[in-house]
Amino acid sequence: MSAREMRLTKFKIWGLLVLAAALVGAAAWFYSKGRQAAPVFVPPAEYKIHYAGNKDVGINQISVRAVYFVPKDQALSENKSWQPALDAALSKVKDFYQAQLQNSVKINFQIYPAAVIGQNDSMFYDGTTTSAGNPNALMAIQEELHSRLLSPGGDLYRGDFATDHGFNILAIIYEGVGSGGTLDQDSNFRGIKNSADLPVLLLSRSFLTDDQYQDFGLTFLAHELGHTLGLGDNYDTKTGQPYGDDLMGSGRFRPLIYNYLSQDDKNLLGIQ
Amino acid sequence: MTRLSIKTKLTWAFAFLGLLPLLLLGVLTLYVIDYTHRQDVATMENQLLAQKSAEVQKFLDDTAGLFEIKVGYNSSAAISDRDQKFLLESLLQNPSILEAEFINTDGQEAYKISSVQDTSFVPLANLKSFTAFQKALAGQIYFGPVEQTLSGPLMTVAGPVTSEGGTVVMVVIGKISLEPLVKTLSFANLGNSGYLYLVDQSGYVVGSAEKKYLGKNLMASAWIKELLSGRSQDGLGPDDRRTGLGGQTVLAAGKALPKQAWALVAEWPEADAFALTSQLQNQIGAFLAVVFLAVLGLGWLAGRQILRPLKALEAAAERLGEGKFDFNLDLNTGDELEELGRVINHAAADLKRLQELKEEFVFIAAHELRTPVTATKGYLSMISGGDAGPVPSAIKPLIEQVQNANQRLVQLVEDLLQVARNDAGRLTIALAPTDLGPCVDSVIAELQPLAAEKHISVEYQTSALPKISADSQRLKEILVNLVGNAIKYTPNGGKIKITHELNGNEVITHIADTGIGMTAEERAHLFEKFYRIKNTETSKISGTGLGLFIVKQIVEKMQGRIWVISEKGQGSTFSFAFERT
Repeated sequence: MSAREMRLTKFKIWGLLVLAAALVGAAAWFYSKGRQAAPVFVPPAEYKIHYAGNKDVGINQISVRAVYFVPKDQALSENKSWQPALDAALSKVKDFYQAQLQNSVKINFQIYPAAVIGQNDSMFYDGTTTSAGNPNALMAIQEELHSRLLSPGGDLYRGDFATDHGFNILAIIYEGVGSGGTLDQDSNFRGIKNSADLPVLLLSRSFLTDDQYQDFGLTFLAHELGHTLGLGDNYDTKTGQPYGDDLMGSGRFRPLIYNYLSQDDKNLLGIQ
Repeated sequence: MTRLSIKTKLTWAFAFLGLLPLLLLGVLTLYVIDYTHRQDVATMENQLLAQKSAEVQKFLDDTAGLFEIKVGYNSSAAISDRDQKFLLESLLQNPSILEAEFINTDGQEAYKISSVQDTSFVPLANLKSFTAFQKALAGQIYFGPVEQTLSGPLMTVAGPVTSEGGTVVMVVIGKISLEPLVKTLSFANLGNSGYLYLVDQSGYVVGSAEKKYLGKNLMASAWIKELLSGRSQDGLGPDDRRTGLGGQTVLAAGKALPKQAWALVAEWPEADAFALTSQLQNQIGAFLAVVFLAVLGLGWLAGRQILRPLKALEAAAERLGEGKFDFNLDLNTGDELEELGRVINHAAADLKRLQELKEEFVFIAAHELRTPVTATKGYLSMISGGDAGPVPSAIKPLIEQVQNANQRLVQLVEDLLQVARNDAGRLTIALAPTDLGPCVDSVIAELQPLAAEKHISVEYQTSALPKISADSQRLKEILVNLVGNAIKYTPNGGKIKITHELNGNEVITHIADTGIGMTAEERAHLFEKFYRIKNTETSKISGTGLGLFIVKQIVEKMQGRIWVISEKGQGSTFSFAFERT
């Protein structure tokens, strides 16, 4: 290769290098514009909600089936405004739980369209005592509703009402006294195999309609629903001394819109 | 040889001198815009954070002030029921305080009022296990975790009720709505989509204009953790450009609120923060691209424009080199190139005149020489023939030498005359339908003695050929030259073969010999004027170097073409072609 040819080749190589460097510089700048942002934790839009303390039982889809239950001897005392009151109460409770659980849970409720008149009188359901939430009534009514409403062949059976819609809860609005909810104390949740195993809550109709309970009657419904999700009381059930002022503690006496689940309870349900 | 045309050089020069600075300036501009705007964004974020954090802090300080109650006596007795009622009602005058209560030092609720419910149906309880009570009883102001409710964020605040002596006589606990803080954050504007949010000591988002962010725990983020530890983020750190709560890339800054171990965070989506500059940068980028293409195009056009007269000069120089001087360069560039064109025109005219003089001289000289050398030839012939008496045997070889020398002179003069005639345009050609065969026969017969002298066989296979368009006399001159050369350059005992070939509308004649052949370099110059191959094999062969030049002139005058195929030591095949009639 002659000296002239070498000069030309050098000229071309340097020219290409300089132009390439300029183009690479421009490209690098544009590339840096579109580079990936530093990765920073972003909380999930939705959480996997589960039965309190049991990750194996997912409850992102909750179905509340509500029944207004009137003992036979109280049939004439049936409250005529129970249905709109129950509908409004369930709507607000739904809003409360969806907000507390970061909109990671879908709750739908279905109200049995007519009051269910019991086959027995109040005394049968209430037993000898109505203290501690009237658990006797809860169990007796659950058993009766299981055979009459939820089992095919029952005199009040309706297929659409008995259909499985995720995590099913039976809410009994009782024309009597009491409030309570089933709480599976066993951490090894047994699972819901049939309607007889449904988590159940019972709440006196008075809490939804009577003036004296207007501030926190609704909160009681939410509190009992908390039990059906596996949440325990946050107060001493014998002395009433609270351990916290959340919904499951002393907050059960506060209006629902000013209430909340404690962070511990949220953690138990899957909100980290 | 590798060549770089002026056009290419000019294009490169334009590209480097025009584009490179422009490109560098463009990149620098884009970078500076990006850098300075990033700083502007951080400044705006920090100003907003400073303003809003001051508001948040003021709200919290004012609230804390309300929960620090001092009684005007110096005993450990609890406040009277009447005073409790008065004080709590006073507290509830603050719309942010939703409920408040006095707690005895044993933890028992003493008196409770609320602006959101009737507390007469609410049983009083013992709160001694509550952290809020314990902290306040210890004389501290307590800010509880923020809880999200359907009515907005709530916070428990507790403080001690102290006597003049500093004894805690009761505790006051209240529920505070943080809605005023949320409103404060809602009114904070950062472009179209920037937002602020408040994070509490546990990493929860407790205040945000976007409700969907409330309650989210961000403690898993090192960035947030660092912020909550009291180190503010200025918005210019490498991690301040990050993924925001909404999942998009944001430019984030944060200000710590050390009293509560809270933090206020500003996140401005990059797409929005850089909307204006992105548009500007795109415009600059587009402008650069257009200029880039324009400069390249202009460089190419300018190169072509400049190159045009140079091309004409190059062509003129080539014509000069070929000895063709009948041209006139017309360069109207109005610069040095036009002047150079004029000089070349003058040179061409002068050279043409010189050539004419030379040709005239050659013609006259050759013409004047022809008579004496022809006469000399005749007299020498007469002498050697004995017309002047017997020639002594000692003289005979000398006379033969003179005759040979004279013969070469005669040939040279003839050739020179031929060339001069041709150059002067006096070479007459009379094209007519001509039979090739008889011409070849005639030439072979004429040269047979020379061939026989060297024991060279001349083979010619005549065949029925169409007539060609040629001047028969000139055709013979061509054949004499080519066959004569074949004999001259073929060693004794060689072979010459003459054949014809029909090729379309042409009749091609090949004269192939088994002679010395020639190299590619020699072939390239073979038809040039006065060119002779010089090597040991040709040194003893006489010639003027004009024969093949004349042959080529004649062939071309007769609209024919001539070429040679030869390899050194492999013989040569001269071929010429004329159109058939």
